Amino acid sequence: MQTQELRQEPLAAETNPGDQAFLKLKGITKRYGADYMAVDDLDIDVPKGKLLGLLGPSGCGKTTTLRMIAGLLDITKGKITIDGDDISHKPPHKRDIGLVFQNYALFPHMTVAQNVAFGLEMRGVNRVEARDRVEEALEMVRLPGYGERKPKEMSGGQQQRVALARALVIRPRLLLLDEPLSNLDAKLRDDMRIEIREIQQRLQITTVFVTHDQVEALTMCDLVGVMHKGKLAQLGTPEDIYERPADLFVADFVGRTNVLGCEIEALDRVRIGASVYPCDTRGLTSGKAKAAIRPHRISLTPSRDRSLVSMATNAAHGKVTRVTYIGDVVQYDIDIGGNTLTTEVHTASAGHSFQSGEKLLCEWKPQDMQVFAQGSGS
Amino acid sequence: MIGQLTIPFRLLVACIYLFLLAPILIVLPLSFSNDSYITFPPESWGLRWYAAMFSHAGFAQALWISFVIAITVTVLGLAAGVPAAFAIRRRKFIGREFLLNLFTAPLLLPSIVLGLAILLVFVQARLLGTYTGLIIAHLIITTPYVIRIMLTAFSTIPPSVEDAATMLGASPFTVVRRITLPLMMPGFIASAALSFLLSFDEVVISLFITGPRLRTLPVEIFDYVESQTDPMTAAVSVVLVVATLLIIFLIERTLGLSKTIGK
Repeated sequence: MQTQELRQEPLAAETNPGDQAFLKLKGITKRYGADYMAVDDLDIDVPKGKLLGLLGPSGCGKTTTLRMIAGLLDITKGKITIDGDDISHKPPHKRDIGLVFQNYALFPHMTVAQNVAFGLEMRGVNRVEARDRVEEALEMVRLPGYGERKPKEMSGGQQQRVALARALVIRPRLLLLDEPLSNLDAKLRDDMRIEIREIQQRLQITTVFVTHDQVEALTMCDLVGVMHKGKLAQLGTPEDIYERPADLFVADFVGRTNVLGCEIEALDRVRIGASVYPCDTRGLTSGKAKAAIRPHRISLTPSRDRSLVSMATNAAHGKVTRVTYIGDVVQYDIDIGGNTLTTEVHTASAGHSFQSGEKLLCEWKPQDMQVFAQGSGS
Repeated sequence: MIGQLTIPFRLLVACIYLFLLAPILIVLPLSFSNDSYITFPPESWGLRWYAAMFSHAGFAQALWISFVIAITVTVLGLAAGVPAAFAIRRRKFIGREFLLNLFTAPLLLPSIVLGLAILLVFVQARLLGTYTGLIIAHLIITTPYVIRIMLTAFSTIPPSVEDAATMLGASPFTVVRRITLPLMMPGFIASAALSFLLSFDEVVISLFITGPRLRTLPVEIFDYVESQTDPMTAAVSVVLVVATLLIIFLIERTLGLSKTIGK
């Protein structure tokens, strides 16, 4: 990112050195009816100026969590603090939190400038100052001079930028983004991703971002919380989440992965089908388990003698059952004696292309295969 | 064919318009007749019947009664219909669909059926020929329209728009004043205008329940035509048409009619 070159805007808050928690969620719970737990005992700390992504499939409780932080939903149990200030039961309009909605939620009967000025008006900012701050905010989202337009005269991407300006102009303590990119088309989404991240870093504003798109979560966020059935499945950096998934659900949900049934033979090896592969099974008891391997961590070579392969790598003979050309990668489905492995080869680096039915050798490093307890995270 | 205005299609539209406007095309010239009885075309022209109308005690009184009833019906219909529509659209409760169907059921019944049913109930309740009775009967007609229009008005306001205002620091009261009310205003005005016109023009049900001392204008006109054959009713009709057009025109000018009724 080129954030170092960007000048500090007056909107920027001072950064705290160190990583003390700025937003603290402690035991946050939302229960509907007698026993449906939409969000179950969530503990998350977000350091000042960081962007937390809440990632999960629909119905996992991520939007419920966001709405509870915003105050639009009551919490059943738990405590939310911002910078030490307990806001758990503060009404939403007194929380001083900026929220950007998936459907932009601009006020259709007001101009863009009136939309952006609304929060300032609520805070009693005088007209002259408000006008300057509105213009400044519109410049920040690269829409200078658009103040007199009505929201419906603007494209989706422009409307979302107005919504962002409107949320940021009040200099909130916290910014919440509720799937802000999912109504935009693919190309615009990529641009907006970079733009939102850049503004967030420039203002050093602590942000919570809800998304079901793992690419958004991995590329934009400092921290990712993967949610599953109301619980936090894993909280960590994007790299943690991708490289060291805590359970089978995270491994499967974040990025594509091959999940194979296996049996733990010893502390350092598992059996898949008829073959035994070395890998790390620490913390697991012997018996049935699941092994996960990322498609692009498997390298393919034309079939040769197994004995020629280094003992340090796992290898399996297989036969190509399907070839799918995706553009930047070619995807091969390979049958390795009862199990199917999906693999990906970058088209640019591919030394050899394989045909359907061709025999080949799949190789991967033992550390690229992770083993999880049967049914973990289901 | 839709979107393409072929000549047969234009002709069809012209015929429909002609059919709809035909009564007015007859009534308008007739109202400027100076004859003592209805002939078309009139033999002499003048404003005699307009003058007679304004000095006719029955019409003047009926006009006032109709006006009072229409205003009351409009206010009460909005007071009942707006919250009902809000609850049906925004709150989740058991029986929501059922209530919606119940409230809007009178839209499906022919007025004559409604009129007869109301007559039977009102005889027992001693409501015939009273303001209360007329207002209740008209409310049965107008409230379903109010609910229908307001449902559309509320569903065009996404809840997130109100949430957005809340997050920007607006108290619940400010949200209603600055966001909800302005956004539902077109629907509100459309409901009010439609209620007023429906009540003011209502004749079928009113015929069942008006008494000799309490007659609405349409009933008065109806009775007058039955017993007299002079062109005064034409003059009254023209005044009504002009008044109605004026209201529609005002709505169209201030809000845009198509926007308020919804598509």
